[in-house]
Order: sequence, then C-alpha cells, then structure tokens
Amino acid sequence: MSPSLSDSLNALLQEQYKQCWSYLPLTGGEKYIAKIRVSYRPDGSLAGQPALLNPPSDPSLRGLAESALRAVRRCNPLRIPAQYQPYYDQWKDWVVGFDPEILN
Amino acid sequence: MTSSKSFAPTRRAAAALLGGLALSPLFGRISRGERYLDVHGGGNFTPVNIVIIPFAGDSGAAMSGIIFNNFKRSVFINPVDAGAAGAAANPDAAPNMAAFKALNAQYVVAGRAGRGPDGRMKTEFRLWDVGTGTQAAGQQYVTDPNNSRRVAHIISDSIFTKVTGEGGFFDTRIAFVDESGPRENRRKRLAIMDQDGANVRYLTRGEDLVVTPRFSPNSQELAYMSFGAEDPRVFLFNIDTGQREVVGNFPGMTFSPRFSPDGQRVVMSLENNGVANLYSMDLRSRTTTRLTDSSAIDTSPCYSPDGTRICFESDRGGTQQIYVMGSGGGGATRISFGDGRYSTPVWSPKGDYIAFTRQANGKFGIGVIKPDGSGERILVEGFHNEGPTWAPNGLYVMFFRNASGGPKLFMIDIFGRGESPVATPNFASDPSWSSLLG
Repeated sequence: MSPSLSDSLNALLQEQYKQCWSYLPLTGGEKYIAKIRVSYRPDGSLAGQPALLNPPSDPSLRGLAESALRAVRRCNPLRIPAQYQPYYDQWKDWVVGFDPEILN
Repeated sequence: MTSSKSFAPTRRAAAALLGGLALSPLFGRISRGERYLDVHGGGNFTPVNIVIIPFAGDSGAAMSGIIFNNFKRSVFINPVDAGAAGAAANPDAAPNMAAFKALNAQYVVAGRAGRGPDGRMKTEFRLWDVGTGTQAAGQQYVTDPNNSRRVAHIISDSIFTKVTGEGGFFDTRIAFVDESGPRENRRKRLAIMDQDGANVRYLTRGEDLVVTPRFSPNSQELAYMSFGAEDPRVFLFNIDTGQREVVGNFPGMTFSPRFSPDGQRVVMSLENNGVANLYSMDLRSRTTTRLTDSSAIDTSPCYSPDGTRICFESDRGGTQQIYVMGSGGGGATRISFGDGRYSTPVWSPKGDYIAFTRQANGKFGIGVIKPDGSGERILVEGFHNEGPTWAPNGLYVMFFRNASGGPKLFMIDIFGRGESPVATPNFASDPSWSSLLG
C-alpha cells in the first residue's frame, strides 16, 4: 500500500471510530489513552472480541476504557472501500488508541 | 513521578532507535504486522443513549419513571423511551438488541418492582450492553415500600457509575430556604427534599428569617443562621431527631459556617469594627481559633475535601477575590484575576475545582476555577445567579436565580452543557447539596 493510500485509510478509519465514540470529558487526573486491539475480517467485520491492552488502575477511568470498547463494537462492521481489499493483510490487525478531550 | 514522566519520551525514543520495534504513538506505522491508529476525541461529546423499558410489576412504572426523570437532568445520559420495542420485553431475558440498536441506544435498562406477600417492596433491574448483548449490571433490593423512591435513586446511581465511571448523585437531598408569601412579608422556612424535588419537609416554622443552610459531611446535621430579634444565631439541626442546638450568637455574620470534612470543626467569618476575619471552631469544645488577621473583609470560607486548605473571599487586594490558604491560617494566595467581583467560593468534593459567584458587567455568573487559579470558566451568566453548591460527584453545581418575582433553584453540569430547573413547592434560595445518603 502506498503511503498516501495508507494515510487516507487511517483518516477514513479515524473518522469512523470518532463517530462511534462518546464519553465523559475528564475533569482532571492522569491522562489515559485506552488502547484496544482489534482484528477484522475481509468484509470489515470484527474477527473477535476487541481487547483492552491497558486497563486503567484508576477506577475513575474505567468508564473511559469502556467507552472505547463500546466505540469499537458500535463501529462494527467498518466500512472499508474496495481499493483496500488487496491490502487486507495490512489492515486486519490494529491497535486503536482512544485519546480523550481533556478540558484545560 | 514527575521525573519518570519526563524521562519516558527519551526512553521511548531510544528504544525506537535501538530496536526499531517500539509502538510509535504516531498512527500508521507498521510494526510486527500491527498498525496503531490514534483517535482523538475532539469536541464531539454526545450523551450515552439508554433505553428505559417501563418496569414490570404493580410499582414498576413509577420506579422506572423516577429513573427516566433522573437521567433527563444528568446531561451525560440521554434516557430514551423504549416505545414499541419495549412493549413485549421480558425483564428476565436479554432484550432484542437489534431493535434497540435501531434506536441508537448503547444500553437498555429493564426491571420489575412490586410488593411481595410479606408487604415488602421487591425491586430488581438489569442493565444490558447493546453492543455486546450481555448484562453489564444488575441488582435486587428488598425494602420497606416507603423507601421505594430511594431505591429508584440508588439504581440510577448504579447505572450512572457503570456507564460514566463517575460517582453517582441521585441518592441525595437538598437543604434550602423555602420562600412563600408576598414579597414585603416573605416567610422563610428551612426545608429539605430529595434531589428530584420529592419528599419536601419543613424544619422551621418561619417565625425567624433563616439563611444559608449547610449539610454536615455525613448529611445528618444542618448548620444554618437564624435572624430573630437579636444578633444572628447559628444553629445545628439534627435531621433525624429534629433536635436543634445553638452554636452561638455572632454579630455581623452573613454566611453560616461550613463543616470541616471530618465534621469536627466549622469555619466561619466574624466581623469586628468593620473588618472581618476567619475563625475555625471546634464543635465539641466550642473553642475558636483565629485564622486570618487582616484589615479587610475575609468571608465565606470553605474547606478543601482533604481538610488541609481553605478557600475564601477577601477584598484585601481592593476588590472581592478568591484566595486559598492552609486550613491553619498563614499566607494566602489569590487565585481569581478575572473581571468583576468573586464571592461564595465552594470547594468541589472531588477537590479539582472551586465553584464561585462572579459579579461583572452588571451580570451574575456561576463559574468554576481550579485551586491553582487555572481553568476558570463561567457556566451560566445573567441578571442574577448565586450561591453554588456541589453534587457529591463534583460534576454538577446547584444554585439559585432571582427572576420573575422570586428565587428558584437550578442545576448545571461543570462543562455548562445543560441547565435544568430543580422542582420546589414555592420560591427557593440558598441550596445545600448533601453527600450520597448510601
């Protein structure tokens, strides 16, 4: 996959996940980016349960971690345009980091 | 902590250089066949949609109705009517998720409530995650039927915490000053009610003017000021027993004392010869300790939730501003620098913000600011808004607004996204929000 094709796939997927994600904006504490491992089938559907790689130790961040998992499930299946089909090996496995808006 | 944080990027960079395998925080790099994609939240906050299926059982509809109305004021959860999809639902079985997915719901709540043969109220609920089709939470409660509203609030808190990861606030009470009668001769009674306006109880009869009730940390007692024929007096009122005791007579006092987080002390402002200073009082021995010694007006003090600091209002710099100092006194740091006059600072139970009233450009606003003076934002501003009090989870403030003939209570989330009126039987002012009753 060419770098430009790869970049546009990233942008496309970022937009889809973003649309699927809703969460409470944090009011303080440590910064936390929930990292979710995902695997997809060629048709864009999840090939298994998404896995949270870094469960938070701070209980106040659990809701944020769950919102990220929920976003992946809501975005199932992903819409993958046909031009990416030949490169399935390059988009079947991902780690998606959900980086929340932090006020102030 | 700080040093390891500042070292981390360097270490990561070194690992990337040496091994070439580290996961880069930038998206799109391929490593071991796995790509990393960074999704930024941006400003696209949307509330979580939760379908509330009317509960089964003879008390079910009332129970789920209370939960629905709670969430309507929560800003972060949007309760969705189940409509036809809920009609045939069996509260014991997993609901048909496809129907709720079509309603764009992330969760579904179902349950039942009714009296058992022993006359006790049995209530149960299940929270279903629409994405996975699995049960995310569930609980059963057996109580006296008189406590059924509390059960609805406890269930609401349980769902709120599961969905947002934040503490609840529904199983709480509000103390306030109920104002009835004509404007020239207003009757002011101390009252308490549930957070949603139900179960109003009057604690005084209205002979004397009462102001600024404050809940004790365990929500069993209220401190308030009463103006009779003499100097203002501070009372402690025990909500369960109805007993009240005088803390003292305090000439020139304008706000009730506030409790320390351990409930052992109160902090207050006492006026003498045109200046006002801050004092703490041990409630058992009634001994007072002077905390400030200024030739200014220091007033409206409030403890931080860990009890180590006090925020207060002072005009020592020329205009009323908010200051923070240690709870034993000593040097104070000014934290507010915006336009206008700042008053009634109240520390959030979470510790991260101080709420205040700001008077500027002929308007009264309610705002929040971090204890170090950063992050100030005005949540609501208008002709009149005053006297914030925090929800126990630190996500909402309640305040009162004088408009159309008298004061009323309102609540707003700390991002200023959604304001709702708080139901009271008459005009109402000076709200104080309790901790969770649990």
